[in-house]
Amino acid sequence: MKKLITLCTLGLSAVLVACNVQYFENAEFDDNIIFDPSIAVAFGELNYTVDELFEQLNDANAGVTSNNEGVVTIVYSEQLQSQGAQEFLQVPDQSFGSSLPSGVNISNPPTTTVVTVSESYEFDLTQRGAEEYDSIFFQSGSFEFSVESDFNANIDFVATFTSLETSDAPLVMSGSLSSSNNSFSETEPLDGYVGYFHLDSDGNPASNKFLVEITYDVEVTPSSSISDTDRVSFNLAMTNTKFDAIYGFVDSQELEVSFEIVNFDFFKQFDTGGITFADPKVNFVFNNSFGFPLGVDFQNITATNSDGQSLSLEGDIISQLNAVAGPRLVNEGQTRTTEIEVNNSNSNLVDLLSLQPERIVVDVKATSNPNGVPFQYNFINDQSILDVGVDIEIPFDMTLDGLQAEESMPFSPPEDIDQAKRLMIRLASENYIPMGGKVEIQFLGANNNLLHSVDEQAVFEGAEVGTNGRTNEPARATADFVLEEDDIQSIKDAETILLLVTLTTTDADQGANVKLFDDYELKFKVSGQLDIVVNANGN
Amino acid sequence: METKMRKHILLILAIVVSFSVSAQGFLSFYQLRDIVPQTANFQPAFIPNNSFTLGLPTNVGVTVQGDVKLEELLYKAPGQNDLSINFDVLNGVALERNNINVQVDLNALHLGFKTKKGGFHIFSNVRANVDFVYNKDLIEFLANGNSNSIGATLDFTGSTVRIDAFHEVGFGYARKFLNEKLVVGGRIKLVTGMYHASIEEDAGLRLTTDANDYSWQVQVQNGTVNTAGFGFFGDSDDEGSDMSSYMVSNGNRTVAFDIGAKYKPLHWLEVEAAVNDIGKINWTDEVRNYNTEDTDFTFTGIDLRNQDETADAIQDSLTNKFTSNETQNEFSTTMARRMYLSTSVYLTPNDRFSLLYFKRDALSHMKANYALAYNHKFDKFVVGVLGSMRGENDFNFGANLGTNIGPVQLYLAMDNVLVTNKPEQYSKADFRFGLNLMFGYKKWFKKPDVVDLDEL
Repeated sequence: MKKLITLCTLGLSAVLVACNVQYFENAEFDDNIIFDPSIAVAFGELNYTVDELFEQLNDANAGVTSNNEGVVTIVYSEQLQSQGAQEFLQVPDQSFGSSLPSGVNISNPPTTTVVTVSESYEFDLTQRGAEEYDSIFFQSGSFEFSVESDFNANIDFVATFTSLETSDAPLVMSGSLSSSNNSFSETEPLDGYVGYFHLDSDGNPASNKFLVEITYDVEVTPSSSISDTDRVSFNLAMTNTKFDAIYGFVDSQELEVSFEIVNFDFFKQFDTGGITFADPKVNFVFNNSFGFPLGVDFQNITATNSDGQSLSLEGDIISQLNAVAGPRLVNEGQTRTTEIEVNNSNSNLVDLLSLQPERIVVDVKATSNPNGVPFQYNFINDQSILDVGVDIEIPFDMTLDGLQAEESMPFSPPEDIDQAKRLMIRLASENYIPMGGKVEIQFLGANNNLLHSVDEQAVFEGAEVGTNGRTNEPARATADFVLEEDDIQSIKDAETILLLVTLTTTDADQGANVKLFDDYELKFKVSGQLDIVVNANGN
Repeated sequence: METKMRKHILLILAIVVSFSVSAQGFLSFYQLRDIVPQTANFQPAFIPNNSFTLGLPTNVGVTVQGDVKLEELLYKAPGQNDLSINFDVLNGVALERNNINVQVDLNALHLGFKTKKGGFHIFSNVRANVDFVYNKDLIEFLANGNSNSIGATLDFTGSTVRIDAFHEVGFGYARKFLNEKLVVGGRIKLVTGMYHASIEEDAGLRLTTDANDYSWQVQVQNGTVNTAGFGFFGDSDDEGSDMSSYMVSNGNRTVAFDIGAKYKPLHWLEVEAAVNDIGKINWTDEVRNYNTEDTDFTFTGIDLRNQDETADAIQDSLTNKFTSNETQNEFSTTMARRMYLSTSVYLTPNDRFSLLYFKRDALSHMKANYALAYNHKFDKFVVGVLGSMRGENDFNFGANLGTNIGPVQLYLAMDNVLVTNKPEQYSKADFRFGLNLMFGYKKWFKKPDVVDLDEL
C-alpha cells in the first residue's frame, strides 16, 4: 500500500509540474469572433395591379381607367387646337363710290335759286367667295366717307347710310361745299354699329346690300350758273373691321388643323418585341359653337416611332366625309360636340399603334358648309370657337410577344458589402395577369458600363385564360437570382441597376389576344439568403 | 462477509462512475472534508480536529468548465496564431444542450472552534456564478444562420443564462450523535445579493422559416430578463462610491441555510449528505426587468414599393413586431442549491474510497455529477485522487492535497490536474487552494494504545 501511495504521490506531482501551454504562445485574440451565418429572410412584398405595372402610364398626358368591361384602358386626352371667330373669318375691306349730277342747267338766275338733288344707292359688299352677310355687328373698324363737288356753287349735302345703324338710327353725315372748298371727308369709328345688309333698296330680302341715300342742295346765285353734268362725287369705305357677330352665310371657309401628339410615354418604356392592341380607338372631338357645319378631312395622320419608322393612317376614315355639326341660330351661344372615331374598323389604327409610335402627326382640314350637308343659316359671334381635341383610348386587349421593357433604378452598394459572400434573391410570384415576364438584371457603372449581369430568368408566368376571357387562378413561379462572392465584388462600383424585362402574353405564339382586367394583380414575395462574414474586430 | 460486501460496493461505484456525467466543480476539494475547514461550505457536518481555526482570505476556488474544449472555444486555425471564437467550430461539437459554467468562491473569513460534542464556526464568503446554457439550435443559428433550417424550426428554448454574485456571512454548528457515528451540521447565513441576471424560467424563442418565401414565424414566451446591480455599469462616472456602498449592503437580502450529516454505521462504511444554499434572494435594489410580451407572429417583410431605406424599414418593421418595455419590479430567485451525497468505504482507517453524487440547481435540468475518489491520510497530510467522466469520452482526473504543518494548513484540490498540460485539450479547469492557521490539535488526539516502536 505504501508503494502505491508513493507512486500516486509522485505521479500527481509529475502531473502538476507538467505544464505545456504551447497552444497559447504567441497567440493573439484581439476580440476575434468569427460570425458567418447565412440568413434567409423575407424582405417583403411587391404587389402590382395592371396599371401600376405600367407605371409610366401615369404621366401628365395619360390616364389609366377601365372601360365598361373592366379592362384596363389607357386614355390620352389632349386639347389640340382652338380656332376663334376672328381667326376663322375676316370681313374684307369695303369701298363704294358714285357721283350724283344735278340734272339741270341754270345760268344767272334772277334770284338765288336752290336746287335739291337726291338719290338712293345700293352697293354690294365685296366678298372673297360666295359669302352672303345679312348683318354684321361691328366690334371695331373705320367708316370713311368723302365728298367732292365740281359745282361752282355752294352745296349743302346730307348722306344717310341706311345700312349702318347705331341705337336704331342710321348713320348720317352732312356738310357744306363751296367752289373754293369743294371736298369733304369724315371718318366714323364702327364700334357699336350694326350693318344691315339683308334688304335691297326696294325693301326686298337680300344679302350683302349696303344702302345709302345722298341728298344735296345747290345754291345758284344770280351771277352764277350750273350745268346738268355738274355733280357731287362720293366714296365710302369700311376698313379694318372686326365683328361681334355676323349673320348670313360664310360660304366655304377652310380651316387647317395640324398638330402632333408627342407624349406617347407608354411606348417609351418598351424596346424590341411586338405589341398588338385589339381594339384601340382614337376619338377626335370637335366642340363647335360656330353657327354652321364643318366638314372634316383627315388629310394625313402619320405615326413615327423612336427608330424613325413611320406609318400613315389609312381606311374609310380618310376618304369619307366627316361632318361636324354647328348650333342653329336659335341655339346661338351653345356648343355642339361631334366625335369622330378612328378605330380598327375604319382604319389601320392597330397597325399604327403596333409601331409603338413616339409621335403622331395629324393634319386635318375643316371646311365650313361642306357639300352634302344640309343648308344651315350661318352665324358667327366673337364667342364662337372650334375646339379640337383628341381622346385616345387603348384597352389592354392585346398581344405582347417578347416585348422588352427597361427599367433603371439608382443603386448604392452598402458600405459593408465586403462582408457579403453570397446573395440569393428569391422572387416568388403569384400572377393573375395573363402575361409572363423574364428578367435580366444588369449592374451598370458610372458610365453605364456593364459591370455584371445576371442571366435572364422567367420571373413570373402568365396565367391561363378561361373560357370567359378571364384568368381564374394565378400562375405561380419562383426565380432565384444568385450573386456569388466574385459577383458581389464586381458590383461594388455599380451605380445603376437596369432591369430588362421581356413580356409575353399567354398564348401569344398563337396570336391570342388577352384582356388585362383592372382587378388582376401580380404579387411578388421577395426574400433572400445572405451569406456574410462578420468579425467582431471589423476584419 | 464484510469483505464481500466491500467488493460489491466498489463494483457498484465503478459502474456508476462510468455513466455520462457533467461535473460542476469542487469535487476534489470535497474529498478534503476531513481536515480543511472550508469544506464546511459544502458539508456543514464538519468538525475540525483542532480547537481553533483561522481561515485567511487566501482561500479561493475557481471552476471553469463547459461542454466544449478550450481549443474549440478559442479556436486557432492550423499554422496561425490568431485565436478566435468560431461558431462553426462550436457548432461542430455542440450537443443538444451545452453548458458553460464559471464559479468563483472567495472565503474571506473563517473562524472555527471545536467543542466536545462538535464545533462551530463563523464564516464570510464572496461568491460568483455564471451559468450559460445554449442548445444545438442556438449555436446552429449563430454558425449558419437559418439557411440550413429553411422549412424547419429553430427552437432556442432552453438556452438561458444566469449570473449571480453575492456575499454571505454566517454561523455554523456541527454535533456528534449516536456515539459519534452520526454528525449533523447546519449553517445559517445572511446572504446579500450584488449582481444578478437571469432569463425567465420557461422563456422560449422559436424561429420557423418558411420553405418558399423565407417568412419567419417567431414565437416568444416569457421573454423577461431580470437583472440587479448592472445599472452601475452605465456611463456615469460618479456612481463608483454608490456601487461600493451597494455591494457592501443593500436590500437584496435573505437568510439561507446549509445542512449536512454524516453517518458511519460500520467502521468501514460512511454515508453523507449535504444540502447547501437553501434560500431565496429577494431582489429589490437596483432592479431592472427587460420584458418582451408573449407573441406569435409571422414576418413576411414589408411593402417594398416606395421604400427609400429598405434595410432600415425591414429592421424597424421586425422590431415593431415585439412589444418590449423596461420595468423595475422586484423579483426573487432561488439560490443555486447544491447537494452532495457520498458513500465512502474505508479499506483502512486511513484509506477511503468515496463515490460522490453532486447536483447543483442553478438552472433547471442540470445534470447530477458523479465522481469516484480515493484518499489516504498521512500523519501530517492527506492526499487523494479522483476520477470523473463527463460526456461520453471526456475523462477528468483530479487530485487533492492537504497538509497540517504545524499551525499552518495548506491545501490544493483540482478536479482536472491534467489541464496544466495542453489545457486547450480540456473542457474543465477547477482548482481550490487556501491557507489556514490551525491551533490546538493535541488536546483532541487520543494517545495511541499501541506504542509505535519505529518512532521510539
